[in-house]
Parts: sequence; structure tokens; C-alpha cells
Amino acid sequence: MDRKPIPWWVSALAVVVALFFIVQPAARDRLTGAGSQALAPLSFFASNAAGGVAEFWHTLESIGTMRRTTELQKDEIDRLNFEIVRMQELEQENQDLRQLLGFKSTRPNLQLLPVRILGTDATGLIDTVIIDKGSTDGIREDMAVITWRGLAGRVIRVEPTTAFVLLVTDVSSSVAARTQDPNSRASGIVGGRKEGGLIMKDILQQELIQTGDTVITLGIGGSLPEGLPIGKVVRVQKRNIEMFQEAILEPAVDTTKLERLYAVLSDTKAN
Amino acid sequence: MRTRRFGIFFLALAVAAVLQSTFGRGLVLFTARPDPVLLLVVTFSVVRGMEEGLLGGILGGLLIDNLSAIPFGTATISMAIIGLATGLGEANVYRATFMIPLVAVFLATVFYHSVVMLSLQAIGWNVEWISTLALQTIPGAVFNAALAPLVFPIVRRLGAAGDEEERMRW
Repeated sequence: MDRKPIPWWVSALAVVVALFFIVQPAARDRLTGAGSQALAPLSFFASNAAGGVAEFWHTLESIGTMRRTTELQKDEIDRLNFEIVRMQELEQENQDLRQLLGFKSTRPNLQLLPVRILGTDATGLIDTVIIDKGSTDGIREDMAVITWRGLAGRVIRVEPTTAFVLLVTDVSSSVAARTQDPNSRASGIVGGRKEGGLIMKDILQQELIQTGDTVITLGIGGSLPEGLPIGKVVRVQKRNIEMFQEAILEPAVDTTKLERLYAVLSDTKAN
Repeated sequence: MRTRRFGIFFLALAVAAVLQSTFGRGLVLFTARPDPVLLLVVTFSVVRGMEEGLLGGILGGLLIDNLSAIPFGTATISMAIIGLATGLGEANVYRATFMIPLVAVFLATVFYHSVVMLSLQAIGWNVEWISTLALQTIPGAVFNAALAPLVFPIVRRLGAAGDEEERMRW
């Protein structure tokens, strides 16, 4: 396609106009002023649009940054929450160990081994727990298992790396016990009840036992150390026609919330 | 295929046994405690019949015997009997009415608990029959029976999948 050449007079006119504005500054100023005025709205719009676009990009960038920050903060919150739970657990353990230390200071003769609960009896019919220590750790049958609150149970079956502990709350558990009160010293056999709690049986009628008495292990006829708290008397069942009286006890150890247990490896006092 | 099916079943039994021992106390509803291993054994024998039910019962029982202080072999023997007995009718009978698997699970729980209590009594443990039956066995049997409709379809699927492949091979 042929392009039509610009007529010579147009070029000449442009040169003349240019020269005119060069030599006449006032006219030039008027022209630039008018041009600026005419272009101002356009410039304003363009500048606004550019600002908007810049802001939009900035917002997009911010969203990305914020998302990364939020994710990091979420991770941090999770970590801190975990840390809080761990700290609470450590505090609980610390408190437990302090209590145990207090307990231990009153009974320096006991050699204790900390044990952990792996599970409960799979049948659910007997009140036993499985612990993570066995014969290789020095656990033997009939050993007492305690918490700082008192007697939890005794070992009934030992495997090389685990053992089964029959809890005091099981109906088949029987522990020779007496009241702590030096004026009473009523003795009997403590076992569990299906309805919950403990029962002290075979207490002679003439023995004095009352609500609030603390019942402790008698420490005879087995490897259970003497003087371990078993429970507190909450009710006494006494009928004159019977040979023995009975007492319902509240266990010293809540066997439904067992966490830290200690196996009594030896009792030097008893030995 | 049977080996693979038993592999999966044994794995399920092992997981159930560990859960039963670890979280058993946490699963108690009032005084009722579910027995996932027993549930699996009963439903498996219902689906697979006597022969496989017996084997399933022995496997489940052995797992329980290892995680319990009851005289060793009690759970194995009682679950083997349960596997055998519930497998008698196989799926054909149970398909007839929906209630039969529920009744089977209920009766199996009562039987299993009774055998365990008898064995404990035989070795000199103190067993309170009435309170155990009232507070643990009957509520547990009801709980297990209520869970049976949830477990049964899963176990049936596991058994049926094996059949399909066996049929295709023929």
C-alpha cells in the first residue's frame, strides 16, 4: 500500500509554529498551561489508577505475607499449647514426686521402683492393671504397688517385661489391715466391692472402729509393708447377732485415675 | 485368599485387643463395657461359619489371655467354643432375621463372662456372681449387641471379598 507523502507546506508550517513558540516565551507558556489544564483530569485518572493498581499489588502481596505469618503463628500457638500441656503434666509429676518424697521421708526403709501402666485387664471382669516392669526389673509376685497416697494393689503375675497388679478395689483382693488409731487397733481383712469402694471384714465385735478412722496395712503374712494407708472408714455395719462387724472404706488411692505407681522392691524394716 | 483374610482379621483382632486393654476403662458406659474382640469373633464366625469361626475364636482368645490376669487358656477355650457355636448357622441362617446376630452376640457375652468367672472361682478367686452379672455381664451384653449392627457389615464385607476372588479363580 502506497503511503501518501505529507505535503511540504505542512512541514513548513510546523517549523514556523515551532520557531514562533521558541521566540515568543509568553505564547509558549500559555500553550503549555492550556495543555496541562487539558491533560490534568487524564493525569489525575491515570495517577489514581496507577495508585490503585499499586495498592492492589501491595494488598495481594500483603495477603500472601499475612497467610504465611498466620501459618507461622498457628504453628507457634500449637507449639505453645503443646508446651503448656507438657508443663502442666510436668507440674503434676513434680507435685506427685514431692508428695512421694514426703511419703518416702516417713518411710525411708522402702525401696521403690517407678512403674507405668500399660493397660487394664482385657476381660474387664477383674480389677487389674498391666505395668511396664517385670521379672528382669526385679518385680516378684506379691510385691506391693503404691502411690504416694497409699496402697494401690499387689503383683499377682509376673512376665519378663510386664506384670499384672491386682488392685485393692477388686473383690478378690484381700489385705490384712488395722486401724491406725492407737486406742483402737481394730484389725480385719480389706477387699473390694463390686458396688465400689472397699470393705473391711472380720473385725471382732468387741473392737472399736468408727467413721473417719484411717485403715492401714498390717504387714503380716505377706510381702506388703506395714503402715501403708488403704482407706478411711465411712460407715460401720455392726449387728449384735453376728460374730464380726464390717466397715465400708473409701480407698486412699483412686484406682480409676492411676497414673504414677511405684513397686515396693524391698522393705528393709521388714527384712 | 484365606490366609490374607485371616491376616486382616488377625490384625483387626490385635488392634481391638490392644484398644480393649488400653482404653477399656474409658469405653465404659454406666457399668457396661464393650468387648470388641468378642464382637469380632462372633460376627466373623457368623459370616464365615464353624471352621473359620473356631480359628478366629482361638486367635481372639489367645490375644485376650495375653492381656489378662485370668487363668491362661480361659479366654482361648471360651472364645473357641463361641466361634464354633455361632458359626453353626453361618450367614444363611442369620440372613433370615436381623435379630439373630444380636441375640448371638448377647448370648456369647453372657457365656464368655460365665466361663471366665467359673475359671476364676476354680482357682480360688472371690467371685460375686449376682453383682457381676447385674453390673457387668448383662449391661456389657446389651452394649455388645447394640454395637453388633455396626461391626457386622464390615466383617461381612471382609469375608465376602474373599469369596468373590475365590469364585473368580474357579
